[in-house]
Amino acid sequence: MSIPVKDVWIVIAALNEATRIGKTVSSLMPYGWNVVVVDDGSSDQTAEAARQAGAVVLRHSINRGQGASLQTAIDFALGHGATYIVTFDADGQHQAVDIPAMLESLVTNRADVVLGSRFLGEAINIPAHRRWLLKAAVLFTRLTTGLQVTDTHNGLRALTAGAARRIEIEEDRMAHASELLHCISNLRMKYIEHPVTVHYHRETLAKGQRSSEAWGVLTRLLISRLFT
Amino acid sequence: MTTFQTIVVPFALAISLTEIVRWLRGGRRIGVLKAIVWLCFACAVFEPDMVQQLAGIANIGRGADLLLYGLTVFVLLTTFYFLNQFELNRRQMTLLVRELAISKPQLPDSNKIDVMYASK
Repeated sequence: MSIPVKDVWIVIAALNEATRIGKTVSSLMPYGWNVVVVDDGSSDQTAEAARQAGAVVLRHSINRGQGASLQTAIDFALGHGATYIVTFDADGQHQAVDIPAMLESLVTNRADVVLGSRFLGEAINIPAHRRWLLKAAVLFTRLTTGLQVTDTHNGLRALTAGAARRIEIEEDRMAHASELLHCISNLRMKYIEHPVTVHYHRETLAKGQRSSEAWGVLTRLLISRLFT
Repeated sequence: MTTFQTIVVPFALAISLTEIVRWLRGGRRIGVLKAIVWLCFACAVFEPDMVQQLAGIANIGRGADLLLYGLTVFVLLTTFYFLNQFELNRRQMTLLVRELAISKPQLPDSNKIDVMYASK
């Protein structure tokens, strides 16, 4: 089944990614999808690099976090008639080549959400401590949501417009990934996992999510349970 | 009266009175609550036995324990109140930033716009 490329919107949250965002956007452009990048209050030339590479850029005047940025991009995409939305990382860890298969899977399985799984696919150069931390997060997610996922906090996902409208990300920062899984569980959405490849390299490990942030995510989840 | 009482009691009473006057002149109702708190503080400093008697009525025993329990409840309530307010402010700020961002999209170079807006 072929999906019209104009119906697909790739949404990317970026913070100080001037050196990499151009390459990431360029890797998506040949497919003809719509690409929207949210510059989350960067102090470098992220917005200009993304725009020159061919993306529509939305700028957060102050930093609000990855979750807030993705919701901004999703709102924009839905407002412009998106039928399918794909969340994608700015740092080049994900492969554009994985997206067509994920979209195909979304349509053929009549799913609401397709979650990329690096543990069904490949996690190249993943540090051992990161692997164990993610495994622990998977166990935690299974216990708290009941979803039998093999990966969590993977930024590569595909959603139908209907699912994107129902999910409202309220966690501004990294806890949004867990929140999204909770939404899928609470809203009883049909989800499937799809094997994807995630490349870890020195720069992304230096800048990306630190293992110590797991405590922050856990704290946010507890706070959101108490005050929402 | 001790030196401490001589300094603190008039000070607390003055603040309490100021809050009442502000409220009477059309200030916020929270001023009444502030006035009551300062008045209770002034009474407790002026007549410590009063706290002891209250503790006896509440079956707590010592006046110091009553103050400690009261303070614990107060700190917990204010902590939850401020956390709640912080969450509310955070969400409102994110909505505002999001609204501004969506209202001013930066479009790609003209030769790429066709694809981006064809679906509108």
